[in-house]
Amino acid sequence: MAILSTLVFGEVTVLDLIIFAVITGISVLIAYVAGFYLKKGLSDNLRKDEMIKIVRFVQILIILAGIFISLPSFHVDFGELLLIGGTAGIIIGFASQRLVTNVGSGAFLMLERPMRIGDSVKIGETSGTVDDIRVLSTTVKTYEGIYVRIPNETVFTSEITNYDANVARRFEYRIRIRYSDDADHAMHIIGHLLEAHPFVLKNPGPSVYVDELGENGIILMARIWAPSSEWWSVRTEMLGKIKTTLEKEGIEIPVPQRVVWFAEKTGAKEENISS
Amino acid sequence: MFGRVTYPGTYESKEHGFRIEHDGNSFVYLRENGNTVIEKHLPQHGISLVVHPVEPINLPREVTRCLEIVFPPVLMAPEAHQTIFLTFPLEYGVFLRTDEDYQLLDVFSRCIPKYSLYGTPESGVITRYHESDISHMEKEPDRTRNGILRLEIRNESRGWVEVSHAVFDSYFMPIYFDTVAGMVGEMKIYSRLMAQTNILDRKVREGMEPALPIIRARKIMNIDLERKGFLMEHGVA
Repeated sequence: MAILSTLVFGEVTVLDLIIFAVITGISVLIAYVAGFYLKKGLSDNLRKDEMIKIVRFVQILIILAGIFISLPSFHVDFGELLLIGGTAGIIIGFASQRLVTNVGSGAFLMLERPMRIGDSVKIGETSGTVDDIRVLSTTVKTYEGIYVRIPNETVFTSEITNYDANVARRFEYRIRIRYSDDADHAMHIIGHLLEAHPFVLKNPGPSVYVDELGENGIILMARIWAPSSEWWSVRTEMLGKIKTTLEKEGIEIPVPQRVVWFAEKTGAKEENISS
Repeated sequence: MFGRVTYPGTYESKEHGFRIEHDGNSFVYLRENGNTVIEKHLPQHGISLVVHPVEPINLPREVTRCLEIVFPPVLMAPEAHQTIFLTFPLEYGVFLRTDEDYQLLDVFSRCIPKYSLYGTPESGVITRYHESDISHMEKEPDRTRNGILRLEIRNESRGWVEVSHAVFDSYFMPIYFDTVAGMVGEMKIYSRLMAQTNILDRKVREGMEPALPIIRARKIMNIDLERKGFLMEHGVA
């Protein structure tokens, strides 16, 4: 038992170290268990990103509480600790500027909230779904399923396009039909198809109109609003339906064509030259 | 139309388009949905099956929790009060029920769902859109497609207001039923741009039974109270 009272440094004994390790270990264990039960209880009730934030916050609180409880075993003078902590903070800050910049950027990103976990975004050249926003970095899962880690400093200074920030978004189709087809009938068919789709919003409603009298056909424009979470599925579904329905109604998408005229007199002139 | 389905045992509802068939020692729930068949295997003992009207925001999949009802304009004098009867789209929920708990099995409807945007894309909300007729007395709707909404409108502003929209939050949307599904709502108009809507925990008429709410079926321990409602900040007309 003498070994327990052996001094390790200052007034701290082996027993103090064991007490610290045990209390901290228990608090980590409690945090883990609490996190598990919180996730289980909240997964039906909250969005994933909000749930993760709450779970992490509670876990950090529990671990900090454990460390705080175990600190007296080190006979810590909190005044000294603050002084040491402050000085160490400055030194570490200078030594790890990039790290601190990333942490600062992460904090500002969390405050400004230009995106949330699960949003479809484009950060600089990277497009995908936000997988996680951490203290040092943001992870994005690209549409090809590739994991990309972007340092928060880069995220903060990059242009961020968030496709899900607004509840609704607009997309459009340019549909070319032949000059011989009835444009009014084609617009009526497209309008009817759009009206029947649940996620083509009633308000703002879709608009279909003749946009251009093109070189190879009449170009119809269809502008459609859909909920941001659904727009891609609506876009892919409706384009196929429009094409099939137009074809069924005898309206076809024209292939490029050019009418070439030959002058009638050319042959006669050639005859004269040869004779 | 609503109520308990005999179970365990085979069953076929032509009205609702689902059936329960024997599958060896157990039972299977089947419903044809367009070109696909929804198939769910059921526990054999200790449950009953019920069909109730549910909050109409689930089909074809849930993208919002708000129901928007659009009706012919009603002119409200300053500080006036008026009760109107509207319809709401009907969605049927099939629930598995034990003595203590219940679980949603399937949702279907005879209405073609449509969605809309109330407000702006930046600050508005996506809504389940429904166009309703208006009546000043209780009228039987097409009860396979629609339920009755008794809406009590109070104009608390000092000016005339034209009302033609009401948006409700489905987080507290008690529906009652007998042969028809019904809800009671209230709308307090503060100005042409702002109103508060609530669905109240009241029956449209005596003898109606409360429907099982999907929100509770999902075990959301939400303390959204009857009074919380929905604040319409983008106009009432």
